[in-house]
Amino acid sequence: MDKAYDRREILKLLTLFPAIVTNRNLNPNQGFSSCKNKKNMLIIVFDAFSACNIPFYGYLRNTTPKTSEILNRAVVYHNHYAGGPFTTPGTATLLTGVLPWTHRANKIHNKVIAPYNQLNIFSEFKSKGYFNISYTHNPLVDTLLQQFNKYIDQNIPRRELMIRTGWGSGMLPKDSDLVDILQRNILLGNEGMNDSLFLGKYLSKDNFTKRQKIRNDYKESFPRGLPRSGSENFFTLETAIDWNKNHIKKFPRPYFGYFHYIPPHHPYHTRSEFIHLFNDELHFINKPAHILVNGKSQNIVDTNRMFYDQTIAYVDSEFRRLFDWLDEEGILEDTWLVLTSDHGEMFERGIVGHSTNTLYQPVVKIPLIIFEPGRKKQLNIYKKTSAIDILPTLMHITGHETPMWCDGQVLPPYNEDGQYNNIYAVMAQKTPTGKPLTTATVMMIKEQYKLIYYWGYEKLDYKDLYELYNLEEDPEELNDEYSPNSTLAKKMIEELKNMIFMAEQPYKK
Amino acid sequence: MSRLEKSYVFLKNRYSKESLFLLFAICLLPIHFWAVIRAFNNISWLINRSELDGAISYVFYALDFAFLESILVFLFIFQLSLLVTIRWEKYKLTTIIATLFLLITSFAIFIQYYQYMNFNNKNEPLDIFIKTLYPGNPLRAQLVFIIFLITILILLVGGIILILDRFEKICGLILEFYNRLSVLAFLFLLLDAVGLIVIIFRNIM
Repeated sequence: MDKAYDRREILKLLTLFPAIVTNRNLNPNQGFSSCKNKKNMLIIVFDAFSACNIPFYGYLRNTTPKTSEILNRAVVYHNHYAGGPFTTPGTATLLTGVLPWTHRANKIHNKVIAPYNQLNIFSEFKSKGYFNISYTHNPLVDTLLQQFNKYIDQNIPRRELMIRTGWGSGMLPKDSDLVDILQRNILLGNEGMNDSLFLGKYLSKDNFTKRQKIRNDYKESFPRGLPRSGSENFFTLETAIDWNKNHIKKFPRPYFGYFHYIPPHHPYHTRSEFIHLFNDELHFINKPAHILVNGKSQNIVDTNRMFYDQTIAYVDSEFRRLFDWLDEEGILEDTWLVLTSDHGEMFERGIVGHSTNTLYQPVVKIPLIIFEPGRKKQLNIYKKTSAIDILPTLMHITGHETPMWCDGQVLPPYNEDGQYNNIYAVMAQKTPTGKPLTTATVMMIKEQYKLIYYWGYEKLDYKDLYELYNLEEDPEELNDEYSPNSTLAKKMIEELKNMIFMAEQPYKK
Repeated sequence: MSRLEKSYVFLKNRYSKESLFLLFAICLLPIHFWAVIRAFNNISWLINRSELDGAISYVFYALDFAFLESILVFLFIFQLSLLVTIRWEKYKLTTIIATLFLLITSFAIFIQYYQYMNFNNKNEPLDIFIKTLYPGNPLRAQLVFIIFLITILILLVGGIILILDRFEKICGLILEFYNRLSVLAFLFLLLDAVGLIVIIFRNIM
């Protein structure tokens, strides 16, 4: 027999060629299969989750009993700080690894400036072959995710996990904030006046009926009302967690998932089983109202604190439900799970929430817990850490180089050689985008000392104001140690102002 | 004649293209004026929140909603006007319907303003008036006040129809005024079109 292939046999072999090509294209993991040995990464962010209201960080109320039970699987960071006191700067800091005076997303619905629209956590994971997936309830976070959309393989629309959405989230997601404001002014009015002369009355009646129906449908499980974003977007945390349970196993591997949920952010609408918790006689320290704040009464502050703590218990329960499922399914064996927040929440000094020009501990100190695959014993890290450290740390633990442009560093225990860096946070909501910081509050923590610097506020007659606290001896920030003659204060102020000066250079003409 | 032809003749006897557009313009104007006033009421804090481009876009969203509202209101008024059995000339019918619509608009603005005063607890004069009518029985006083308002409305409607029907010169002057006013409608329509382009651009880009 002739051993050489004849023409007929070659033609038969060639018919296999299209099958080889199409099979490659049909493989859903195509492009990711070369990275399948890499571990997955899941970040779960609960909005406005303050470390100061969590018992394993020293809080008196047991708001997170279920999460406390699983800390043996985690590295717990006890002194972790947000980049800013509300969603936009806090989230942008987490996602870009640079501080607000660098990424300049300082106002509500701001986007980050170039080059951070192309240099961020999603672009980094994408370039390393990860499948990026994201979801948020929060429209401010959605603005940032839309900006990074090029690097996100699947950005789930907000409305998909909501029970009812407003016109903005439903029809015009890119301008959802503006349209939701218009909807609110038309349906609910503003100081008694509707922005629509005729239709508003009819639509608001119809809207009222629909809202009442939702309220009645969920009255038993959510007696105070459903959690919501804005005035018209209703959801439950259970829906979001169930979505994760139904879809995580289908994500192409390796994946990077960023899930940013609104609870325990205001309104503090918790599930019925938590509604009677913490109706205790506990009294928290009554701190004097800050000069920049139109203070609320202590009674209102304490009541809201109780509602907030009840909402944390709801968050704790749902997070534990997700964790247990991930564990049972074996997903945690090859997935890093990070639990954190974008900023905290305050219930002191006459302040309820985080709409404040101050940067006290409750509004900037947030949880950071990294559930490491294979970990069986809790590791506590007391070194001061920042949201800017998350991006380089995640890059490092997934076996990649840390980005050169990040302000942060790899956190212990993954990098024991790290130097001590100061911790900064910035509040500059009154500064127009692209302009120098004219009105701002900046915080610097150096070792155990915390300096807060205010400037440009009309209420302060546009004069500079400084506060200095020793966090080790005075964690409640009751004793302001600032004095113009203090050597320590002068040194810290000089160092802080140098940092601000360097950050402001591109904006000074 | 078929039913369609009969309807066409019926409409043609009532309205010309110009008078239909005039009626639409009169429906459009107060709704747009109100939308612009309310939108600019929010402008300063919107600029603070969303930058200038966001604040301007908000005005365009408000204008385009006002355009939708104008179309719906015009269709409603147009349908109602077809029920009028009195055989007025086209220009007289348009003038009367438009004037009655402006009267209703004035009442709508009055109700909005009353709610605003109520919200800010500044309704003392009206409150005192109501309480004086039937002291100790506020529900009855409010009912009487509503009946009083409806009576005024009916008298005004009757008065307007009577005056415009009887006095051709007044009717002509008012029509002339509406014709001049309708030029503003073009400006609003242009702004609505620009607004639509901005909205599409912002949501697609």
